[in-house]
Amino acid sequence: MTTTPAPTPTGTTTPAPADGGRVARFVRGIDARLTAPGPGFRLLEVHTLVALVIGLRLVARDWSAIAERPAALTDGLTFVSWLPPHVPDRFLVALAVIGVGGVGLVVARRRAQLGFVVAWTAYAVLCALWGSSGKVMHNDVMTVWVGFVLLFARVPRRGQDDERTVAFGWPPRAALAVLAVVYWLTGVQKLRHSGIEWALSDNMSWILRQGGDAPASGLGHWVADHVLIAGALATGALLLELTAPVWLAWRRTRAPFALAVAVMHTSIWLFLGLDYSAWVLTAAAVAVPMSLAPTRRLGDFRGFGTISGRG
Amino acid sequence: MRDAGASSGERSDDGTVQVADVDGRRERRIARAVTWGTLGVVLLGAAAEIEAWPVTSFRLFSTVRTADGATTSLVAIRPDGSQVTVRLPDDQVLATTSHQLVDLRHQSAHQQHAEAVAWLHVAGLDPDDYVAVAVDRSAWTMDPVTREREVHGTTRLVEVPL
Repeated sequence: MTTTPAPTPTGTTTPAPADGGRVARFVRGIDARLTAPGPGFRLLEVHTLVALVIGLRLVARDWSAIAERPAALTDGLTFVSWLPPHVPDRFLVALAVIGVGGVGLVVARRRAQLGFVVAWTAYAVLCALWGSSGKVMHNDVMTVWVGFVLLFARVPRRGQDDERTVAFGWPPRAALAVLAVVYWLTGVQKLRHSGIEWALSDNMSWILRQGGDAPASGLGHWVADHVLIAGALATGALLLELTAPVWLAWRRTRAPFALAVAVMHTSIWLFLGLDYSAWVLTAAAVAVPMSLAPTRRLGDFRGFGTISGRG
Repeated sequence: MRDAGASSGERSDDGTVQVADVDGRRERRIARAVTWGTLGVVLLGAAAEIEAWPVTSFRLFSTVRTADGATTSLVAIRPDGSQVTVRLPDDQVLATTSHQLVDLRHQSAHQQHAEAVAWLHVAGLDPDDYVAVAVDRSAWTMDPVTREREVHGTTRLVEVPL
């Protein structure tokens, strides 16, 4: 039985657990890390960056394309399946504009929490409608889930950036937890449905050969024809996904994780033409600020100020 | 830096819990509910393989690919019996409707007709020029060097009169 107080990540102390169960201690440790106070500026950085990712996705797509899909071909269960099967393009464009307006509120720090809710809702609805063609679309699902936990964040007002509260501490950590679990699940599902053969067979070679048009499909075919390289690519991707919670648990490995997933998704885009840029940007938006020392702001590495506008 | 909400359970001299402590406890409850609730839904969706976007199984390339595969295609049949492959537009919203082809056989006759006509329209074809559409499933084997697909059998899944 542990009798001495255990330090929390912020240096405060909490009473030691009454029982010595490893699982109980582990859960209490996770809970203590999740709910420890955190600085307002860190929440502001993550909140603003994820909002900017949403804004980028909202302006990068022609959402009116959804209106070109006939009602008879609208299919798939989503949280907006209750909407009519055909949505007019004016509604879609208006929703995107409203969403971008919400991002503007977040960036301007005027009713930022409301702005984020508006932006996320518009984005999630549009993505759900975009993906209602019969195929499950994962391109934006990471951003939607990470953004979901930030809906409940109490964003610091001007002048509160340096305050450390529980309210400011948990949302970026919750976003980090969602990021970790989603990447881990993508790896687990590969093992669940294919076993270790997913990495150790010539699976990756056939994925690369059967891919569609892509910016570097020639290079992809070259990789496909070199079994060892293709196998290393598959093994690396699987290991990265399965170990995501470990990378993201430690501050110093969070930024390298964001870089690693950027390499992985960029190679997927180059070889197969699949756009997972929203995953890359979301991982960076959460993991990079959370990789900094607790007192260091994101803008401290640049010469032109910070998101929170310190100084 | 102030550390509001860092402590918990401390009472002031008059026995009332400090405002920061109350806020801290409430925020901790919110933190646990949102975080564990969200992770629970995400994990449950994956475990039960639920596809109700954004709840999803997160199956990204989770099956092993081999040289063998199958392609489902839509063909339009003219009055003279000749057939033309219906090519859907490249944009993601319309192109991915092809994933519904395999399930067309399970739809009602009314829905089959509506979908068949809709596919012809998005492909820029006039339904009046055709007497039926059909969904074919072709099994193939890919050559690893030429990447050519050798079709070794085609099955007609459904034919929908127009």
